[in-house]
Amino acid sequence: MKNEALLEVKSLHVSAGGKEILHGVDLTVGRDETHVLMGPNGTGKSTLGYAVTGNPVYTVTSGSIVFDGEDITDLPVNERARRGIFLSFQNPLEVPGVTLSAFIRSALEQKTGDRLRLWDFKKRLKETMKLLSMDESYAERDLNVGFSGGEKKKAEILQMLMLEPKLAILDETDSGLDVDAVRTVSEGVRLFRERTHGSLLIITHSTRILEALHVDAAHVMENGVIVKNGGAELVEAINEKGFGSLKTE
Amino acid sequence: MEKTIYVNRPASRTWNRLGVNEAAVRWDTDAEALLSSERFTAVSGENAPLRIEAADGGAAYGRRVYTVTAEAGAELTVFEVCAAAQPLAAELRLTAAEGAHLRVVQLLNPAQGALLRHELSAQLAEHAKLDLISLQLGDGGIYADHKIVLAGDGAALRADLGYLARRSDTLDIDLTVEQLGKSTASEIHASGALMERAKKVFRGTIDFKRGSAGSVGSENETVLLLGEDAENKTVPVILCAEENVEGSHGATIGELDADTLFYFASRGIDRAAAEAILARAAVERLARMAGDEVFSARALGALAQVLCTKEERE
Amino acid sequence: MAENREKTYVADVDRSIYDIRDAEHDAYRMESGLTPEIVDKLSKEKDDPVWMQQFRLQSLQIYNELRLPDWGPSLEGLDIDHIATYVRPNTKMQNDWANVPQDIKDTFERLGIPQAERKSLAGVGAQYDSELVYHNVRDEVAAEGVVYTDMESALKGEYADMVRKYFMKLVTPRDHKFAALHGAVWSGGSFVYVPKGVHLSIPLQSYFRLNAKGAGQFEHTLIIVDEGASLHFIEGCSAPKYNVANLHAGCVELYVKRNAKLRYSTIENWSKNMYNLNTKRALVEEGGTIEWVSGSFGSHVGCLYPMSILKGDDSRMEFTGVTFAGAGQDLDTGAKVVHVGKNTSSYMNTRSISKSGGVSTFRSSVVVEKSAKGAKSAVSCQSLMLDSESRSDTIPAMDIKTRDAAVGHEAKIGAISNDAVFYLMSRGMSEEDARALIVSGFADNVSKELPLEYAVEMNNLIRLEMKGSIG
Repeated sequence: MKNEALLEVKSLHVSAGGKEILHGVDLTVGRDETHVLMGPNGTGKSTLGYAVTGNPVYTVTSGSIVFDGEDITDLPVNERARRGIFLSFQNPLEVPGVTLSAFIRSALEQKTGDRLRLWDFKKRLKETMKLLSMDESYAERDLNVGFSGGEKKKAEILQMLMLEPKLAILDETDSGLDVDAVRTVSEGVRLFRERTHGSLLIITHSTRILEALHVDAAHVMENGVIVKNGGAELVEAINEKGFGSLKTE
Repeated sequence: MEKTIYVNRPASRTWNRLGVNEAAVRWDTDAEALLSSERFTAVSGENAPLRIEAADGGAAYGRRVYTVTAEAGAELTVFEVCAAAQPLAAELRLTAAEGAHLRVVQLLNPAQGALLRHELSAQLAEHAKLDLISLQLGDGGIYADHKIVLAGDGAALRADLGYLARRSDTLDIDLTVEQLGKSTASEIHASGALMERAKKVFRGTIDFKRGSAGSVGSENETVLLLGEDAENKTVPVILCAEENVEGSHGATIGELDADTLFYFASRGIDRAAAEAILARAAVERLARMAGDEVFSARALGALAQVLCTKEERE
Repeated sequence: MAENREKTYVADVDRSIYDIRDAEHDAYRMESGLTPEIVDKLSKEKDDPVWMQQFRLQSLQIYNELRLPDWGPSLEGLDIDHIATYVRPNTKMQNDWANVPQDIKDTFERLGIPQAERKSLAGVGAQYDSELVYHNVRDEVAAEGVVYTDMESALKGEYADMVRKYFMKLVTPRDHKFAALHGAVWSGGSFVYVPKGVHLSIPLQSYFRLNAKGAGQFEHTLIIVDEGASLHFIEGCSAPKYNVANLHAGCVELYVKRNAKLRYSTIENWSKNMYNLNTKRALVEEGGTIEWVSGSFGSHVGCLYPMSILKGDDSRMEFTGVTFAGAGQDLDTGAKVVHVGKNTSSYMNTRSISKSGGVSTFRSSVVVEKSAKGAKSAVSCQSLMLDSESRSDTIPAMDIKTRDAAVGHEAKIGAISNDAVFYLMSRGMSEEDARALIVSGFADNVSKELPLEYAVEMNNLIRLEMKGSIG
């Protein structure tokens, strides 16, 4: 059935280090949609992102995650990635010895199971980097090693554009970036939506990255549960009055 | 007749039980013959790269000696490839006069089962600099001894060592930097992967001598253990007889950590594929750093040879 | 500016409270050399069981076979043939402080030992030269079934079988030359047994002291912490100063059973003519924990590397140490660990300080055996050089035989930051005080782990070491 939601998170309880962080989260993301997950720091937003991606540090104690009609709750991370889930990391890992280019190529080859034609790959990579105003030389530099905060985030968005996932979770991709970098990242995200019609779940506690995007739905998380669902207007309301305003409603 | 000789003795000894105080090598000192002894001099200013190819020349227990003198203000890159099917000892003696800048890019790559000994010694005068890139691709036994003396004030060493060993290869690496001059600097990075039954010893010694005030030294090693029967020995030593210096060392040894596995997996790359990528990483990184197509091609060719399976080889 | 940055010149420590000699009127003194006859005589004098008599002779044989180590500090100043190996003090075992002879008591009073006991310690086993002269375990500790006695009594009493089962099984005479020597001439020391499930909330303490000149001390400490039990044992060492080289080759064997926990703390402050060649080892069973806290301040030459064998799955060790090497001292200290069981973990955290020509060496060994899947080990050592007449070496080694391990190591060496000294002086502190404060802070990894009165004693030692005039 094509109308089914892309991601369905059902009464999800998640623990890490013996402590429960998510206490029953319900969230549905449809196809070709942009969702925003907001909330104060330390409420479990990133945990939800990790749980959906399958970080083994986080244990799902009850509830389920259904992606593209398949229950993926027990699938390993790389299997989820192959099915089209992508997480843009808040603090991407530095990998000495593996270039950005070689890394993306390996990921694409794992996804398709085929060898890529080097020329085609390089051409596409070069074009995509240009869209993100990334200097070409970064392709042959070791993954994230010596990259500035902004360059790391751009490298994450580059991977997203190259891998074309069905669902991209952006975990605080805009945090710690200057205005220009936010604009570039935001443009990359817009392009992803426009070109691939993949869905987005944007985790943020600010709204700068959302300015160039059409938001379909917004969710507010507090203390490990979703406390409010709404549309773009919810983002506006929080923008003006902060999270405190929700409690009086 | 072959007998056991001891090489790679570090400046400091520790418990004998650990087997790191020296390396025992089977060598025929009577049969040892000097195959060649060549001298090179680099004059002030930029010099064309020097390419050294040390091969066994069909003889067992041969020794080749290369002496490179960089005069004051000289800039020179030495590309050194040691590939031998017979037991071979190669020696590279470097002298850098005031302000000279030497780059040594070396590939130590014995044929399968062969024994390769390499000795590098360097004496650096004031403000002279040595950049050493050393790739060690074990396809036999490699015993590499590096002794660098930062004699003059402001002399500097940067060493990048990368290795990959598999099957039952032995890598035994010793690197000692003596810092005598004031405000000298050393930076040592070693990184590599051990597959299958490979054994590796790395002794890195930073020796701050009295009078080396204002000097700094750092060394670190990252070892990726991939083989079930691999064994890694790391001995990162700092000797210090001067107050006003800063030294540090660090080592990380083990299989792929959870963060790396998760990051790779989140991009759809499973453990086996991630291990295959990272086994090559240290060597590939240095091959790129070499900045020379001829050398890189040679190094990557050797890497492919080491990585190909037994079946492919036969 | 340069004139203002002259070094702090530091005088030798005021050790007068430690260095008062008691008149030597020993009841008995052995000949200086070491022969089977002497060992036999010693054995008879102590009324050893037959097996111990044989053990001593076998150990002597091994001692004569083994060579001195070919690494570490020079032992040239040591001539074992001229060290009387056994000196028995002029008193019988005491369990009442009032009955201890006055001169011996004075020494302990000066060292503040009984006060410490009265305040918070569970028991004092003080060894005066080679015999235990004062021994007392508080009633409540004994009531829990805890045994705390001297080794000689343990060898013959109710626990004789247990002692025989464990004695020098962990540190065998074959281990090294001084372990063999210990096996031949050991004398005195403590035996502790903590029964299953008993948790001692107050530490047990023993205090070693070496008085007669040219005398060696070879006390043996055997501690067994049974399943699920826990104990904190504190050992303190001190000796007055003589010109003849003194030797201490004690042996500590610790058995930590399933899910048991033992903390072994030592503040070593032997006088600065001592060769301290002590061997300490712990065997840790499943789920057990050994924690070493070690401060090395005294001795002329010290070789001390407590070793932990993590035999059982999920067993763990922690080592926290500080070493301060001043004038005339060569202190080679550190720790060893062998991971055997699965998911075992080790953590070493050490600080070394070198001053006035002192040599301090941090030496470690981390071995992860093939069986130790999931082992984790982290070593962190920092060294501080207080001047350029001194030396500080860091010689760690790691031998990793399984891929399923995570081993980390980090070390740093450097000098006191002038910025930090300047900052403290800008707040009105003298340079001397500023430097002493910085050094105390540097060593706080150990002082934080010690009971208060020991932490105070340790900081006093550091302050004494740092004391001097600004040049």
